[in-house]
Amino acid sequence: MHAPPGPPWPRPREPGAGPASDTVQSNEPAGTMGVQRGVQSPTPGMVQGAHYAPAESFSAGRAAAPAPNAQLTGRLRPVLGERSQVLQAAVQGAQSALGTSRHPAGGDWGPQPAVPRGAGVPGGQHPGAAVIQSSLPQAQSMRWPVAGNPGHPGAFPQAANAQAMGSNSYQVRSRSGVAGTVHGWMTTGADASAFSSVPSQRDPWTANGGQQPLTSPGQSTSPPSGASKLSPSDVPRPAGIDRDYIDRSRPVLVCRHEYGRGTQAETPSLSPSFREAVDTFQIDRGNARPRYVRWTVGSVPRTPDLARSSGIPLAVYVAPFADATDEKPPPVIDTRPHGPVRCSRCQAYLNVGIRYVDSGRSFICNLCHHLNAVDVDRFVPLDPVTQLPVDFANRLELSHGSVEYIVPEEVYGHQGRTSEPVFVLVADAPSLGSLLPYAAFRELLAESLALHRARLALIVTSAGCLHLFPIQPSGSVQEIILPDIQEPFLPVPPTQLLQSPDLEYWPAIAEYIQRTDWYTTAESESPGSHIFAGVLAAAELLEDPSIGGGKILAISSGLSLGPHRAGLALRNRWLELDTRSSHQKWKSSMDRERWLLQPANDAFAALGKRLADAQITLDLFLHPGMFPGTATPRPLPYFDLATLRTLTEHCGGKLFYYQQGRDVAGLQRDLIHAIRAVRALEAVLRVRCSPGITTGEHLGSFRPPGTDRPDIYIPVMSTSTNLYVAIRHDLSEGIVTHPLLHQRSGTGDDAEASAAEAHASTAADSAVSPCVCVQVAVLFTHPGDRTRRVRVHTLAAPCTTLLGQLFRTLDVTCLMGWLARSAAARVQAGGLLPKLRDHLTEQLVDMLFVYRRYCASRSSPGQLILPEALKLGPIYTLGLLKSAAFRAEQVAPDERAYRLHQFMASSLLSMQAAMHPLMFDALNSTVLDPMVGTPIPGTGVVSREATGVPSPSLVSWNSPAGPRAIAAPPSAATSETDAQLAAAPDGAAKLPPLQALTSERLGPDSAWLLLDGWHCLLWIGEFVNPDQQQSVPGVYAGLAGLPVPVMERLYALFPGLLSPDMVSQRSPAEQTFMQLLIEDRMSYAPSYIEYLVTLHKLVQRKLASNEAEKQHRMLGEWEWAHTY
Amino acid sequence: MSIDFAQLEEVDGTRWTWLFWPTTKAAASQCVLPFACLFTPLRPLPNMPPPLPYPPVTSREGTVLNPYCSVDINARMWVCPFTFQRNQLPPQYASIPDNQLPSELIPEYTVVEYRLNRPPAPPPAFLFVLDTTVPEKQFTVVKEYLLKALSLLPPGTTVGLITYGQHLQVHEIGFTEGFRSYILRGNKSYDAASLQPLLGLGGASAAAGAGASAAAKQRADATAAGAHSKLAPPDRFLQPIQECEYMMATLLEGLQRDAWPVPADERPKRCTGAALAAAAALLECTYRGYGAHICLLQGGPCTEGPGTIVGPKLDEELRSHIDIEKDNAPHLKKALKHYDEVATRLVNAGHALSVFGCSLDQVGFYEMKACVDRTGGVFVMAESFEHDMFKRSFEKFFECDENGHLKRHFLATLEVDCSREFKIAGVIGPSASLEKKGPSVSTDTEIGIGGTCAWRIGSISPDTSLSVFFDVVNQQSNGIPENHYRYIQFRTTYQHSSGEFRMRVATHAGRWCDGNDLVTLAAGFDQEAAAVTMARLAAFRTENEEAFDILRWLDRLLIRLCARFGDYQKERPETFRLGPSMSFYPQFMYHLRRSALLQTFNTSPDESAFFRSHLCRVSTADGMLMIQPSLIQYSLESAPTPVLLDVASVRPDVVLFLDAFFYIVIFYGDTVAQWRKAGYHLQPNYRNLAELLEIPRRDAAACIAARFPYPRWVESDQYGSQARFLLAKLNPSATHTSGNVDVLSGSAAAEFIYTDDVSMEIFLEHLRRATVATT
Repeated sequence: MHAPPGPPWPRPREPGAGPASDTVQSNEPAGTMGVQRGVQSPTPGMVQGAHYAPAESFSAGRAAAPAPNAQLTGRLRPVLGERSQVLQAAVQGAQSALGTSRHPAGGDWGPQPAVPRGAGVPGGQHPGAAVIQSSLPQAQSMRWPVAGNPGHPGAFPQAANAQAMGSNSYQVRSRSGVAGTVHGWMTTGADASAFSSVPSQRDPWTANGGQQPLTSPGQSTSPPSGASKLSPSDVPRPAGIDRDYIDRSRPVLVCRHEYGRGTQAETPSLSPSFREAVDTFQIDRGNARPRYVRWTVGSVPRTPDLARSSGIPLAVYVAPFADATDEKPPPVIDTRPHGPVRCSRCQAYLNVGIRYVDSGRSFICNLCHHLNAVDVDRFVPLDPVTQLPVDFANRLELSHGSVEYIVPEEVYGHQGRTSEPVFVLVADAPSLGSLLPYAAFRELLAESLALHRARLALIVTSAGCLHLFPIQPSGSVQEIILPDIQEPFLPVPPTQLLQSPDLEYWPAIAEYIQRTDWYTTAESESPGSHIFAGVLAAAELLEDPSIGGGKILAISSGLSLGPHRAGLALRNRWLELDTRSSHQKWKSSMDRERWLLQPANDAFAALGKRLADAQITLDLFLHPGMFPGTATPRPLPYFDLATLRTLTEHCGGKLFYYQQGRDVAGLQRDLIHAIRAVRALEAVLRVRCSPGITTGEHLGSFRPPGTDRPDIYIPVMSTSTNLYVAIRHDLSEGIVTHPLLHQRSGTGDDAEASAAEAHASTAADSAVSPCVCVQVAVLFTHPGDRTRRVRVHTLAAPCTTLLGQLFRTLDVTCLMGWLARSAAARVQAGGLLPKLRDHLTEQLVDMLFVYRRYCASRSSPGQLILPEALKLGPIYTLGLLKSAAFRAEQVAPDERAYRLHQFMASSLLSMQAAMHPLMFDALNSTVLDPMVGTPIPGTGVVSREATGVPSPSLVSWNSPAGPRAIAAPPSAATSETDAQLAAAPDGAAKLPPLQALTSERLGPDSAWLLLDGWHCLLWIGEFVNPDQQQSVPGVYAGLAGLPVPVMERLYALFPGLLSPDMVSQRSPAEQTFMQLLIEDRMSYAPSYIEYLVTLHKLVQRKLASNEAEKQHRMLGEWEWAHTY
Repeated sequence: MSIDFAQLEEVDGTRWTWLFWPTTKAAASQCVLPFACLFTPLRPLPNMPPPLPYPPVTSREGTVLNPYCSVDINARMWVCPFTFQRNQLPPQYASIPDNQLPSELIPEYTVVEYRLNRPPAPPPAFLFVLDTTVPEKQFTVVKEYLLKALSLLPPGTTVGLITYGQHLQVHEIGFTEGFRSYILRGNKSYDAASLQPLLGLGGASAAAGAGASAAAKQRADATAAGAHSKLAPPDRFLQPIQECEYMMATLLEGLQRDAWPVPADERPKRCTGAALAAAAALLECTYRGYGAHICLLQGGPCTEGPGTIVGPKLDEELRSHIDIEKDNAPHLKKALKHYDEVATRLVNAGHALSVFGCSLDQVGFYEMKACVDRTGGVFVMAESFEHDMFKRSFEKFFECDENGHLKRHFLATLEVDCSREFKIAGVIGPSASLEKKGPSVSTDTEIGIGGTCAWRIGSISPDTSLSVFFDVVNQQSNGIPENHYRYIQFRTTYQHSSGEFRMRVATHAGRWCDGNDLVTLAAGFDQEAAAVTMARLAAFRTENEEAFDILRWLDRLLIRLCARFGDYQKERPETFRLGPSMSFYPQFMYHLRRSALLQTFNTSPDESAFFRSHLCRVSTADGMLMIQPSLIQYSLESAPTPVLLDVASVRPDVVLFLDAFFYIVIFYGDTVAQWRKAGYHLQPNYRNLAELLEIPRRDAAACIAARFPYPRWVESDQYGSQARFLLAKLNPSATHTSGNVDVLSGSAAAEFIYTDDVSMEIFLEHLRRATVATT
């Protein structure tokens, strides 16, 4: 296999010791062309900076230096299908890039614009042609650090290492012989146009000097530490890294589905950039927003053969209640008492894609092609011109991709809920210590409860008892103790335990608890927790017919100790493992680890099922807590998360795991979030697809649907509730089209679109552009007014028969999310981690191979070809391999289980961060961009549109990297409304620029904030002035460079994010930080560059074996023919 | 010659069915009725010396020095009349002159009381177990009366509170920071071992776990700690009144009814059985070996958990006598078993249970009878907590004597020793066997609770009375000397409510007589005592036998008794005569047969249990009232006179006062009632009428003032609906079938009763015939 067991990669750099990077590489067979040499060559240089840079590598680099138009050929490859169009765009991009390089500001430093980039200027990864063009001078600039390094001997080993890696990248490219070999990571049209805004960014950037060494032209001779590196800046990274967004207004994404023009669906696509994903203002113009529903591919393969051979998994990511605070929520349509219009056969809901025929007396369902008769009393004549109902303006479901129907309860089973939402807070004494003393927490709690007008019950467990606090009419505190913790039950009717949203009794109870003996005595310091006794009581409370379900927030401070009788007591399996002779019990550490990641028993799953059946969701917070009565945090216990997760997963809840008992703020934040984020109760979800495809596996944190009913039941859905649904073709002929449905109405036809169709369509009816439709319907009870509702998201996507099209439009973030989640699911199901790791790389290689074999077969065999849309695949996969969930290293079982659970449960955004952590400059972010922390400006007011100046971001975001890179220009009628829609409001706090995940720039006078969706680490250099540190209330610790709103934004984006953990340079804790710098080499995984090389080799090998096999097969056929 | 048995009772608190006993077993069996004694251990006796401040002198067998012992002061020896063993006198008796004998040796003082030389017990504990599923109005009252109880109890008394509904709650009244209670499952039975860790009663664990020896150990611990010092473990749940009064007051004030919603077609869920078990366990953990009393205030049947007597659904009816006979009561066996277990635990720990059942419906007395009867507790039955029957009884329950001590004492042990010629067959009364074997215990006859010579009475009051049965075992061959007496010693050790441990020793000497001397035997026959004893015996047998068989058995005994002692010529009924000492006995039996004590028709199992339970503990006089109520007539013409319990006594111009123990009736004859309605008694000239109306009421009030439980008070006019209470008790000498009544006109001169019951005349006629027919 290509990922050999054991430590396959060179040891990480260590100061003075020098890496033994040649260990494996040198053993590899030399059959992989020049790549191997390229890898080997820098290794001596890593030992001593002075011996760095063998001449041959540089000469090779120079030889490889491309002509300025080399990229153009590179760009041609991915867009074979529409050569002319893309060529044009690429030329434009190249020109603008050149223009940039000649910008006066850049010219200050000299004729070579890449010098500042090479010196580590943020924003160095210029898109498009500029990247490669700059590579040559960059290579030259490498000499400086080499020369300079002796002046800083060993001071910054990371930097030295980075140089080595930088040279690696050059080797890869240079040895491949052709310029632009590792091509395609420059962004396409969208970025090219984004580029146009760069000049305006430059000014503040140069004015404030950025990194001070760069301001001086003389820096090149004595490069200071921070800049003395050779950033391998032209390897693909998520857009936005090292690029500044100053003055960049909020991107707007319009999701269209042109009714009446055939299902001319436009697949909205988000850039893989993290920042653009979070900041985008999405507008629903007939297609569901990607925030809600998202394909792994932009164009769906039309036939199963194509899907199979491409190696690209087909799946849909669904987050039906994703947070869209300032966007317009889906329109709410009250359909009582008749209910919404649905297809009589497949029960799909009316949507943009259906087509009225027969003058409006019937309509064709776009999800099953059934011809439905329209009820007489609902008949509305069609407008003869548009073929739309005359009341189209009022029929929001015909113009929106996402709508919410209020439905009659009698028809859509209400399941008995009559009361307001109920939350039960179950806490044990130590974790209660993290909540009680904070009056502010109570305020927040009351506020968030008031959002839903929800009520709260409090159940506390101590070492031997359950404690409840019924509300007394007199206002005095009454405590009820359930001493029989083995058989917990609900002692009083629920009504007595439910506090009104204003938490009137909370202060009295809190004060009372803090005085009581069980809370303050040492008894509650026992290592375990009886939290599940409380959970059982809470379940009984919520099961009461007068309540009918709700959400339990359980805070556990230790390993569950019971109730035994219910099987809810857990052993410390981890400790058992250490004390027992593991060799006797386990064949290998792999088996051991697998055992640790499996649930210890079924009882928790059974409890989860019971909860789900009673419409209860449980969020479990594992927090070591405080020693009650003191401010001392308790040590981290073992929770056996692998078992506990089965509980939360079966009832659709989430786990929150805190590694620091003192992270009280984090716990409080997540508790509040868990309440605030509730969006739906008693939810039932169903995904419907167009004929030809069907849903497969459903992956996420919920009870897997049964074979008999494909619906997914999640008692309480929140903003982060999401799932992946695998999509497969169920007919061999592929996606079925319906002539009427896809017939164009003839209005607004334009040449560009038909031209594209002429290319794309191989269907019999050339006028038809088939599209595929996925409809997600969630039946739920609204927590606010407790009406029964259905939220329907309908997403139409174009079909394709071209492999190239498939690769061009795939959505790498969504795709990688799917791969990560299915890998995590397999581990949870008992898969061996090493196999899964190999499988992840294999899947990527398969895709790359297919692309290489069938879409770029004409390129030189020495090139590693990354499809444009998949260019981030390697770094995401690498991040996945280095994440705690999959890392080939000993990881505490709880942590591993938690990270795996996160891949199952968290939103795509969090998964993205887990694959590619976010790093911010904690000191200089506000210096670099004064707008950091302030609301991102919207696209402006309507008046701006009126002047005719098109909003730059609107234009840019209207052109996804799809086949219609430049979308059909909106008709005059729609452009006006679009412009209004595009007047996006100001967004949330702007995040600082992202940084590449290498240790290159970790200088002693710098500080960095790094987060992977769970850990949040603040690395502080040795020389950082303590004055620059400031403690910010509520944030635990901050630095001048990161305003509070930034942290708040991050907390909002990543529920479960821990409070920042301070890591000082050279402290033992630094290891955790370094592990997240995924571009660096680690003991258990290669550096990014090395990984690219490995991928290249694997693709090559596969190509070779494929060729051989083909020849062999041909030979065999020939022989056969000749034998008989 | 007639003996005043009541007078004799004043001497040593005993009443004997037969005062003179035949000397042989054979002759004894010919006496038909058992040789029994109605003994009231703590009866206040006029000529009893004040308690002796020193411990009793005991023999090796445990018998106590008494006036019937032959004492040799000089040799410092005494001879026990029971065992004829010589015993040493303690040194301090050495130089006692003859004229200054210690009280126990003075012949008049056959009953003396000692103060035992033991450290005083902690103040008694009262653990209230309160039903919270009663209607709101009643709940207010019962809470108010709980508070009242606190004020009635001596201040040092320890109290605790358990409330129950669907689940049961143990209130931690020693906790002052707020209201705290421990809640336990209503459908689970807790014993001491399981309850003790749950409530954190760590200190008493050894005692709770290991039985009697541990109890002794704990007693020793308590001694070491000083009895009045705060009890370490239980003080969270049981607190002296003076310390917890405020807490209890606020707690009760804020106490809510059980909040679980009750569906319209269901009874409230009530876990009485579990609550009792938990209460017993709590006391076991904290008060084992010391006096404690559980007061259960119950507002309905147990419908949840162990001890359930009826399911929660309203369509399920409570068991009736017929259901029980036909084995058609699904919960009965399980409930009986549960309460029996609780009773055993209560007895072992020495605690008592009293039940105040206040409901129109049955609440499960029948099942709980074992708990109450075996521990010495009492039943109180009332229609509701608002009714006087509850209120007055509850107050009376906590009555104190002039020294401020409760009249109800604790943890009594009754030991009986007797001469060799007869043995102890058993006891019927509110007690439980301690299974103490001895030479006095009869091995072949067991009547009531037998097989032992020691019994435990968890709670004892001065009027608690037990029937002790004896069995003459002397054979013909062993002649008994002429001047020989039979000796019986009753030793009652108890925890006085002041905390002292006392022992009352009553030694009785009785005469033997020749078994053929029927005149002497008959002269010593106490027909009241015999009637009560037979009633108790019959009531005791109802637990295992069918009512019909018991009636037959009673009849047989009566016939045999009459045949043996009557004076008649064979086959000539008209010649039949009974001696004066026996003449009323058949009449008593007639009324006993008709009484609700034995008749189950029109009586619920709960009522039967209630009546029988009280029958077995009240004094002879009260017992007689239950069997045959007293009827007093007031008229303008004559002074109040007792009249026959006969329908013939009902006259329009009189006021009748019936005392049937459980209820009293003041009955106004038709004419009197019309006078009253016309308002004559308000006119000054008719003061005699006013008095006629007033005096019976005054008499009745005086009568019930001393009575426990408080009887139902019924006032009725002739032909009024409430008159049935009176008529039911009267001998139906005139019924609708009698020829002298014109039923249709309804204008009969005399009252009559619609009944098919036989009248006493017919009964006696049959008895005569049966007697003379017997050979």
